[in-house]
Formats: sequence, C-alpha cells, structure tokens
Amino acid sequence: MTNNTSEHWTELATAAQAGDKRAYAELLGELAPYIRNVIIKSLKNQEEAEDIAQEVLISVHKSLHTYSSDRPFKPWLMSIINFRRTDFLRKYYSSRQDVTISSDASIIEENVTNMTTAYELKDIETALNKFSADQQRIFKMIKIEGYTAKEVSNEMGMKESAVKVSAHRTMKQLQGMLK
Amino acid sequence: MSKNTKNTDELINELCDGLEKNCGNFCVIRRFVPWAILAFSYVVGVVYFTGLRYDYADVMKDPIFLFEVGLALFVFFTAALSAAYLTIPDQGQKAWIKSIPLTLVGVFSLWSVIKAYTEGFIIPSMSKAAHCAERGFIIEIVPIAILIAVSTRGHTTQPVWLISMNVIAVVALGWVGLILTCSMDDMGHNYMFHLLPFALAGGVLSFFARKLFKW
Repeated sequence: MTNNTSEHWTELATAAQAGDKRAYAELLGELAPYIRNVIIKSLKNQEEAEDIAQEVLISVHKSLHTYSSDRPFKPWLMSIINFRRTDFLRKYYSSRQDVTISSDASIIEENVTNMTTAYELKDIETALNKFSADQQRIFKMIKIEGYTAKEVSNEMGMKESAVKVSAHRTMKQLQGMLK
Repeated sequence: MSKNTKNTDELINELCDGLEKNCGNFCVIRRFVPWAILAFSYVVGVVYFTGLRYDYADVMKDPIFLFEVGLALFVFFTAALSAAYLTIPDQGQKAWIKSIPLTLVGVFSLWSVIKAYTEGFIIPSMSKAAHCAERGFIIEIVPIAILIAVSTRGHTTQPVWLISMNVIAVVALGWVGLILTCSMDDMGHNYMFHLLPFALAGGVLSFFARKLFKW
C-alpha cells in the first residue's frame, strides 16, 4: 500500500465524517478487498476471512468518529483488523475445546490396548476376505452396519429369504474357521 | 459473484445508509478531563466528609509524605490519561503513554521496598482491616464505576490494558484518599489494607475486560 493510497483513504474518511455518503461508500469499497487480503495471509479459509472482513467493516463504521485526519489511516485500520482477527481466532480455538472424546477407560482398554480383541478383529477380517464379494457385503451390511434383511435385499436386488440364508451361512462358516 | 462478496456489498450499502453526519472532531483530552475531575472531586468530597487524619498538619510538612502523595496522584493522572487513549483503536498513535504510569508504579514499588527495608514491615492486626476496607470501598467504588462507564463507550482494541490502567488509576487515587484519612502510617497497615485488597479486586476485574468493553 502506497502513501498515496493512505492519504486518499484519509481524505475519504474525513469526508465521510462530514456526512459524505458517496465518499464513505468509496472508502468501504476500497477497504473491503484490502482487509480481505490482509486476513487471508493468516487465515486460508476464504469464507472465514470474508466473515472477519465484514466484522472489520462494521467495526470501522462504529469507530469512524475516533479517527482523526492528523493521524495516518492505515495504523488505525490495522489495529481494528488485528483486534477482530485475534478475537475470531480466540473463539475458534476455544470452540475446538468443546469437542469431546470419550475417555471411558473400558472402551479404550477393550478396543485399543486389548491385544486379544485387536487380534480377533484381524482374524475375522482375514477370514471374511475368503468369501465372495456378495457374501461379504451381505454379512457386513446386516451384522456390522445394522441394516435389515429387507433393506439389503432391496439394495442388492435379491430375495429377502436369500439374503437371510447367505448371512446365516456366512456366520456359520466364519465360526468354524475361527475356532 | 460469490455469496460472501454479495453480502459484503449489501453490508457496505447498509453502513452507508447508517452514516452519521459530523462524527469527527474526536478529542481524547476533551473526553478525559471532565471525568477525571469528577472522580477526583468525589474522592476529595469523601475525604472532607470523613475527616482528615488528626495529625494532618504535621504530615503535610513531611517531605516523604508529600513525595508519596504526589507520586500517587501522578500515577492516577497518567494512568487515567492512558486509559483515555486506550478507548480508541489505535490509541491515538500514543501507545507509548502506557509506559509512564507503569514506570511510576515501578518507582513506587521500589520506594516501598526501600521503606520496608529501613522501617521494617510488620503484619498488621486485622482489627483495623474492616474499617479501612469499608472506607476504601466507599472512596474507590464511584471512580472505578465512572472510568469503566466512560471506557465502555469507547472502542478499545486492548481491553485488558484498558482495565489495567483504570484499576491503577483508581487504586492510586484511593490510596491517597486513605492515607489522608487514616493516621496509621506503618508499612504493613498502609500496604496491606490501603493498597493490596483493591489491587487484587482490580486484578479479578481484569478477567472480565473483554466482556466489559465489547463493541
């Protein structure tokens, strides 16, 4: 940004303070892309950058009367941009702390640290891979994903009785393979 | 044109429609002086109605006493002025002004350490605590309310600094009011009952700075 631009904005701001809406519209129109570019450097998300830019414009509007033409315009503007950006980042990082992860020890112990369970799951997966693709899909949809036999039959274009028989036979064979 | 860009254009139109005329000529000093005088006058009034300490005539001849009172008043004045500049986004390009009250507080602290070393520091009896706390509350509650009320009408980008300067100003002014009305000058009583409780209360207040000065 050149000194000429800063002086131009000073003139527009002074005119806006006197009630010149045309000057004010021109000022805000020129500030918007500048503010956006400053914020984008530290916040890559375009939508969030645009939100913050709009917050800055509102703040410029609210505090325009505090600007005086005997001071340069850019530091006044940058103080508002930095304030709103910091405000946004503070709220963003504090909201991320609201994401809860289950700390139930039994769940962790059973599924993460229990080597027996981990090996069992691996065995089932290996055994299941020996079946045909349709058998694997039927078994997974009914036994793991919780679909009903009717839903699976609609999905795969099979009779409901055929889906039930396939799932039952796959289960029996798996039990024999994993003994 | 993206949705956000269109929203920005609409926002600009709305802001232009809401532009107020003659919103310039903002002067920090002009806004600060009346409120500082009001806060100072209030403390003078409380001291007058409470009654000066019985040995007022003697202590006013003590150069050390006068130095401490003068230093505290200077802290009040410079901290309140810093707070006034902190109510505008760029602090009037005078961010350096904060260093003045902070330096004076440093001088005051150093002076207190020297005094404690030479005069000794005895933990005071709690029997006088309630009396000084009550008087201190009466002296400081209105000035802090005034300064915070004025500050909330500003547009600060440094809320924590703003509340800190307000607290420093009021605690300094309140300390002057208390030592002019309470004749117990020993270090322990002076600092533990005239200064520490209100400084701690101010510290608690600083946690609410962002909420207090939201704009």
